[in-house]
Amino acid sequence: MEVGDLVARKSAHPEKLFEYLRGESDGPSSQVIDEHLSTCDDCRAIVALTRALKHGPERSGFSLEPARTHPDVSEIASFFYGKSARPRGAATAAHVASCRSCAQELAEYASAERSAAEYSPSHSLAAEVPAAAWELIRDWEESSFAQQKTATYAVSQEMIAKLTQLLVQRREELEVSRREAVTHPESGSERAALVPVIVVDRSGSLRGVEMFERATDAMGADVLKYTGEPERFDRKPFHALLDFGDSNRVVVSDLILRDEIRLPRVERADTEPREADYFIVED
Amino acid sequence: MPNESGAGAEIDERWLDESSDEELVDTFLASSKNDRQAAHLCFERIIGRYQWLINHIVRNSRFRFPAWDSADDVISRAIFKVYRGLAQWRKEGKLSSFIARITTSEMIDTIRRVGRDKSWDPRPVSDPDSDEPTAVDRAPSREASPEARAVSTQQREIIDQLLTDVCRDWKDSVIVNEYIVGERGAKEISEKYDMSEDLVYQRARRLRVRLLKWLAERGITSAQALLSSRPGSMRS
Repeated sequence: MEVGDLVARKSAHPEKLFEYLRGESDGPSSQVIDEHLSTCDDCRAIVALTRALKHGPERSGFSLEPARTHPDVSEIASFFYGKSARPRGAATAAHVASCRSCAQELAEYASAERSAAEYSPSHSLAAEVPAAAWELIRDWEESSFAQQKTATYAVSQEMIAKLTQLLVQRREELEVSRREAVTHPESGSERAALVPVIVVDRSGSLRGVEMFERATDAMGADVLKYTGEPERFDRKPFHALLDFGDSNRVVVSDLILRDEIRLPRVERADTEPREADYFIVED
Repeated sequence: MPNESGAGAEIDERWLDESSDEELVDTFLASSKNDRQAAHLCFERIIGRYQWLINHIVRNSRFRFPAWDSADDVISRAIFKVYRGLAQWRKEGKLSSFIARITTSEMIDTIRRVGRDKSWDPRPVSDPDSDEPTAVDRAPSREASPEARAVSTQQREIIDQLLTDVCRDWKDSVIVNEYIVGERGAKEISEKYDMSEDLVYQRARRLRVRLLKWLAERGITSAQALLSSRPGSMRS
């Protein structure tokens, strides 16, 4: 049957098919649905599928392997709050549809959200932060994790968005400059591997592209060396924008020291970055 | 009243009482680098306003916490995470919602961790010295053959594909889980997930239409045909 036919016949299918399967239909309605099922393959398929999912292997003959890996708590939260990236969100949707414990977790978010929406705090309530919470806070404050990055070192989401847009617009141009730099202008021979590094100002506007030479340092780590004017970029923050193929790009930052920067390594389970772009934000 | 930078602020009770959540959070963030005492005062006031909510979420959840990781421990960790995460509050939603999310996530994280801890057994132990075989000892092996496991995995993939395509958001997923496949009534679902009863019926009807379309697009007319298909051929 064509999908168009299905749409045309939609009104003919019983609306309360699931209620019928739950045993909630009265006698006359059940009879109508019984009659419909005797002639409709589509609805019969839904009935068989629902029964297979409902009754499991013993009564259906199907043995669905239970989902073993639950989505992260953060993924369940993003799914509930509607901010999950589509591919990952879709996988979470399928998982939750067949996982009782994850559905229960969503019920906890729903309940907490209702309480939060109804809650009206009193402004003058005295504080009673538990001692155990203060202990955790003080431990954390004394560790380096609580130290904020300096303003020049951090890259805002807005800047990442601008750089991503810039890369899309200038992709071809960057590729041409990379090819030109790699080939020696006179002999035409290949020079050391050169990597274009984009230089932008604080507003994210392009200032230019500088070529860095890819090399290996004494420790065997991959580095980029600037061979132009010495110390031009010394102590300037260098950022690598890594694309793993999902919605969020990863930014890794470090300082350029003595015209050299060690290439950052970000490891993710079973995946390598598809692309890496490098940039310097200059005052 | 704090000065403009917030750092080194003179914070008095009156200012703490009269400030909005946004002002308290801004001053907390501005002070946290240079004036920790001021930051802590602001944080205490924020928690003072929302501690009832944090307590309520943790203590009224359906989860039961073990003695070694009690509700009090969860509350302390949730408060710590609020402290650590306040900079992430974008002020797009209410602070209560932001705190509720952190608290619920901490609670779920704890329950998952407890569930993984094999030493936790919520059932009473009858007699640890008894020679009688336990219920676990008596249970038949559920290990399936490799062939059966392969079929089962394949069927799981097909069903996952179907659910991925028909469930558009969390409400669809829980209605499939609890109403279509499970035995829970619409009223109970509406209370458990804070949605109207009408919405449960509406969504169930829409899911039925999407299921019909999904099956028709693939020429599937029985569950047998669906579950004996190849997973790759199911993709839209």
